[in-house]
Amino acid sequence: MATAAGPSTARPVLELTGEATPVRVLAIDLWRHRGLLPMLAAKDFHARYRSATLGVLWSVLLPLLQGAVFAIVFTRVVDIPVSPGVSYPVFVISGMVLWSFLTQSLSAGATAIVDGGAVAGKVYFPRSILPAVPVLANLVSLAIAQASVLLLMVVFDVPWSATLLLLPPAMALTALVAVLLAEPLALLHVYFRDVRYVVQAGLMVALYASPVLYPLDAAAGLRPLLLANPVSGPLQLARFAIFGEADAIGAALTATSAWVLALSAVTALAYRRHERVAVDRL
Amino acid sequence: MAAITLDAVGKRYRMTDDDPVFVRQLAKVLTGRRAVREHWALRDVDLEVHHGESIGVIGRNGSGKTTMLRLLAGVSAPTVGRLRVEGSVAPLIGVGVGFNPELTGRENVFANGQILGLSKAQLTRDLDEIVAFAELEEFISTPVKFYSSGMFLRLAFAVAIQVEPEVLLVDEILAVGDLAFQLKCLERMRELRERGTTIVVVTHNLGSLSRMCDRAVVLSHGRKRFDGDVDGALGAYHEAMRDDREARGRPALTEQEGTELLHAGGAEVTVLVRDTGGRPTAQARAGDELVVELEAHLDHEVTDPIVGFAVGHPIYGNVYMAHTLPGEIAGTFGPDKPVRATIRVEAPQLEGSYHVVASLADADGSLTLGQSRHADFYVTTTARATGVVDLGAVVELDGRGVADLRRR
Repeated sequence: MATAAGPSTARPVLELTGEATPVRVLAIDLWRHRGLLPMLAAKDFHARYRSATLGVLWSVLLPLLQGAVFAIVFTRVVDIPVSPGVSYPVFVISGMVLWSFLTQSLSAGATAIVDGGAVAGKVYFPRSILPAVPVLANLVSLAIAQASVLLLMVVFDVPWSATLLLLPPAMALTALVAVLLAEPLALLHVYFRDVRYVVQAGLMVALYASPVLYPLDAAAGLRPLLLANPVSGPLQLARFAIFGEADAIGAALTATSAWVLALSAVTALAYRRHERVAVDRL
Repeated sequence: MAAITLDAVGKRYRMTDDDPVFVRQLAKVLTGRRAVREHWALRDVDLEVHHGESIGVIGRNGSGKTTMLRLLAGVSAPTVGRLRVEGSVAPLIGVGVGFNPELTGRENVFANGQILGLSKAQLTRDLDEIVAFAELEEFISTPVKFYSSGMFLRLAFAVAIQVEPEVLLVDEILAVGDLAFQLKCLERMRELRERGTTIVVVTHNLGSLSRMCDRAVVLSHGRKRFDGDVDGALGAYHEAMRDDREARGRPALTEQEGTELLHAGGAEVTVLVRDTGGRPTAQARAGDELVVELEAHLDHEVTDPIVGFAVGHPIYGNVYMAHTLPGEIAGTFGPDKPVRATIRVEAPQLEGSYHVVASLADADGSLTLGQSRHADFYVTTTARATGVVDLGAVVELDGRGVADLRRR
């Protein structure tokens, strides 16, 4: 009944030894399976919200709600100094939107290889696809949440300007950071199941070590630490896109770029050695 | 070049012994004294499979079969040695892989199909065919969680067989699904085989091996023990089992499973299968004469006992049962005089694993004194049929024979 797949132009050859896989081979494999990532992400997205009546709205609602709480607490209870032209509610909600995307993506991404073990243990495809799946799937809710930030800007009298075009790059950069953090963590999680909890704890602490709730210059002594944070770059870029001004955006983006390079190298090294044999531990 | 080449392949797994007490376990992890055991699931395996060849890999549980399949599928990598597979590989083990219960049948077809290596365009084109094959036209937009297990399996299988690989890996083909499903599976494999697909079948069920494979490899404790024709492989497989038993200090297989005794009422019954040459055997061709030897040691005196025996099949149950009538075995037996009887039978007509059980009863047949354990043997045949009896089918079309399913 099946129809022939047609003669493949180049017959694929699988060659395996006990040695580490060259990065070139990893890249070719990844390219050959490029269709899988969007498919798995779409599947992840659909499956997650299929049975919930409000569906994807939940993932949008939560960061907005959380941002709203912070907006009330940090204007009515404690005052956080932001620049005169900046509306704190918009500031904190736009930050929370990116942060919650990072949190959700990273906690799902860091366990993705173990969670996908049933599939990964039976069929081969590059395992590095798995941690990227939740990140890509969450981009949908991120986009919807960002759209609501645009509406909030109207409510709080923050004018729309051409810099808003930088919002998508800021989102993309956050996603890149999320993927690159998730990749080595997901592999590590195969060997040390504590990683799941370390990630949760780390993310909880990191919220306060990132310029999400307060601007960079509000934390005098912590400034270098905040700048060295991998998500400071995209956060500051998003603030610049919304308010037309952001502190130390160049330094923050430089730090993020350095993180991206370092994490890429770590990822490549880790997958060279463990890509295939990690499933032995599942 | 060969489709599959294994060059001194070895695969080592590391296993940890975890301490159930959390604090002790933590201390062991922190001090690096966690017990790690190494286990070579495969060792020094050389293998060459040519394009279009069908090869069976047999061995007991833990012999390395599954590991070999994982390596061939590229799911894991060898620890030492070199492995090379030419051409696209599809695992028939991948049936239903990545199925998500929340998604509809259609969505799962696309997801599963792409994981198995089909392109989206291919799946779009073949969707109707897949759905029709699975007989699920009405339910294809229903989430899979509402499917019965049969519906689920049909859909999963319809996708899996849509893959047209150059190398097909099959794991325990007869272990899943109902008979119809298994037949579909076999039929599809035959089709692929005729088209020149290289097939590797991994199994510990020896059924239909000779019909599906040109060649078989026997694995034992991770090493290749035999590589050659299927009949030879079956022999080597049983030999490997016997060696294992001897190594564990149990009686050898030549004394058959029968030496492990059941006490039912004063008789220890053992049974042994020999060929007509008198050699203990665990395999036969359909219709061959087999000699079943019964030996019953008694702890009390019994007069005119009755001997019964049954030949059974793991799926079909007992396919043949018979016993003597009172008085046919005349005499008094006892602790010093065991009952020794030989039963000449014809090996069953169709291929499969069979076993024989013998029992001894008292003179009026009301009390079973003892029953033996199973003595297993395997029957091969050239008949193209499964079941219990060979009905010798010949298929004709317009009065001309097109298929002869009889034993030749």
